[in-house]
Amino acid sequence: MSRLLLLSPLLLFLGLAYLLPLSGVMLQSVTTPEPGLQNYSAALGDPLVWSVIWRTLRVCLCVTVLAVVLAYPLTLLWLKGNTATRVLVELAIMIPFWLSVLSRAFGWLSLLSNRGLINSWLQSLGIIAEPLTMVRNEFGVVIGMMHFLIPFAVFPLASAMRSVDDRVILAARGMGASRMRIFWQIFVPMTKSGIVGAALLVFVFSLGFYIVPTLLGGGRSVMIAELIYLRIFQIPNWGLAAALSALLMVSIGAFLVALIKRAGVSTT
Amino acid sequence: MSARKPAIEAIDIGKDYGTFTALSDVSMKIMPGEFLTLLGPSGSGKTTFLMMLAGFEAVTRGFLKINGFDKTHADAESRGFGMMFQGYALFPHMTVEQNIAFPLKVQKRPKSEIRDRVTDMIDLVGLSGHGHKRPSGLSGGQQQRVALARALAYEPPVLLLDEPFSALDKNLRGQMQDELRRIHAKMGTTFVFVTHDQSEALALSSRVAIFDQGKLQQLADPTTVYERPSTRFVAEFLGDINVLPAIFDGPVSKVGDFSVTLPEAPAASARHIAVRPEKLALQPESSQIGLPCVITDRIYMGAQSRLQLSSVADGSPLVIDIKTADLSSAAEPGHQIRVGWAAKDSLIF
Repeated sequence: MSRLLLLSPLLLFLGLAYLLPLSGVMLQSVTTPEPGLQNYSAALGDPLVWSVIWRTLRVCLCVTVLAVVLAYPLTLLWLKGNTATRVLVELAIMIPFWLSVLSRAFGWLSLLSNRGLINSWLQSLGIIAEPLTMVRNEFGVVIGMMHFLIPFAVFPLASAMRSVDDRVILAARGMGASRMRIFWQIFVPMTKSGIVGAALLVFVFSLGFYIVPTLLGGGRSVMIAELIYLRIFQIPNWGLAAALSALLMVSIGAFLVALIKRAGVSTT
Repeated sequence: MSARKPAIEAIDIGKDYGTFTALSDVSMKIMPGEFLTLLGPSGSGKTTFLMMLAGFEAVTRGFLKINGFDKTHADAESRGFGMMFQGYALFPHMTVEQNIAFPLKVQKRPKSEIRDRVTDMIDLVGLSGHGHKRPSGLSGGQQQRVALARALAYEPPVLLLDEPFSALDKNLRGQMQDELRRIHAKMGTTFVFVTHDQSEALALSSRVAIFDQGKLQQLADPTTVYERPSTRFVAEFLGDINVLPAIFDGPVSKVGDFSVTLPEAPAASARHIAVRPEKLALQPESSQIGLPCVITDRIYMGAQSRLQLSSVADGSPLVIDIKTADLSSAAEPGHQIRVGWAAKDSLIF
């Protein structure tokens, strides 16, 4: 009883600030403008919604693959490098956590935009004549999201790499296996659980991204979260926005269940 | 044997970690086909020596020759030795067959040869029918067999074994020791085996190298290291021994009033006479020769019984092992008895 009492402020806060508005949204998706499932059929029947869903999946898949692939060598450096390398990599992983996603998105904007640092540098060196289009498209969105999500991929990878028994690697070396063979045929397969875990985590996170696609996509590569925003504030259609939110939440929930099930399996 | 070249020759090999000397000036020749055990307590340098043989630890001092060639600084990959680790070190994501095939694939052997060889090795270690299982589906003893099969599959000239049986229970250990002896005899591979278990070392090896505090103490066949240990450490490490302070006068040594005439005069540094418990004998009650002792405890161990004694002269503790059947009921704590031993069984330190 006393445990429940101690928890009650948190439960109350979550109930008022989260559960109540959420159930309001869920309710709206089946009541606005009139009761029924017409919002869901409208959402799933709209080719624009489908193109946004496909883009979201495409971008998130790209981000996931790139983030995990780049996080893998980074994690290796963090765990196996010399002391200076480790400290450097650790800072590189931790500092992004302290910066707001908004300032990072603006940072990328000033680097990648047509009159941004990279383009003006390349132009002044005479390497390119016309600025490269690196924002207001999926490229910019992928870069920005990947930068945010790489640290999240590092931790599941690190825990998998730490559990690899050094003697297994020594055994393979003693049999004359080359470094490449040991890496690809022994080390990578032994960290498979970390790779899958990192990929699921990054993918789930990326599905609901709003600020980065909005700023770096510049309204041209709209993803699902931005579409929901547009359906609320630009073409007010709260019922449809609520239905889209519900769809997004359910699909993320499904991935989370898969993630937790995996974690449950790997710990037993 | 002496006409053949040693498989491995260590010449004054040493290893430092910073200012700490883990191993100093070890020299030995390991002959082809022998079963050499490196024995010692933890921290004695035996594992460091094995890791330097394997090429996993850099050599600080000295030389290492393999088949007569200098390989002091050659990497592990190029030595072509087999290695069995504590904790098996199997590839968890591969089946038994794939584990055994891995070193053969590294050597780019033809597919059909790999298949035949894997089947042969699985039969050799008695794991037929388990080829498609993952290591996690096998018992500790079975995993151990897979590790052995994998280490021997590519016919390495030398197999290094780092305490491979330390995780197994006593019965399984005994079985695996028999298995290892059988496989050693069949394959003719040179085995270098590290253990801290002295009975395992004595049972398996053709020669035993005993290490302590980074130094090689003695290298000889099991009978010699047990019966004629060269140092007090070796004598005490290989089973129980009674060490008694003695006074030496030429070949005559005196422990209290009891004197033993040794076959030859010991070195001037000699201070103790040592005898294994099973070499001591109870003297008949009427006898006036022997070291007078008081029985402090009697321990029944089945076929054997152990008496714990205290020397009357100076209170030195002794133990004596005797067949239970030969022990009279009078041999109870508090009784005084006399013990004796043959002069040739005396060890002098």
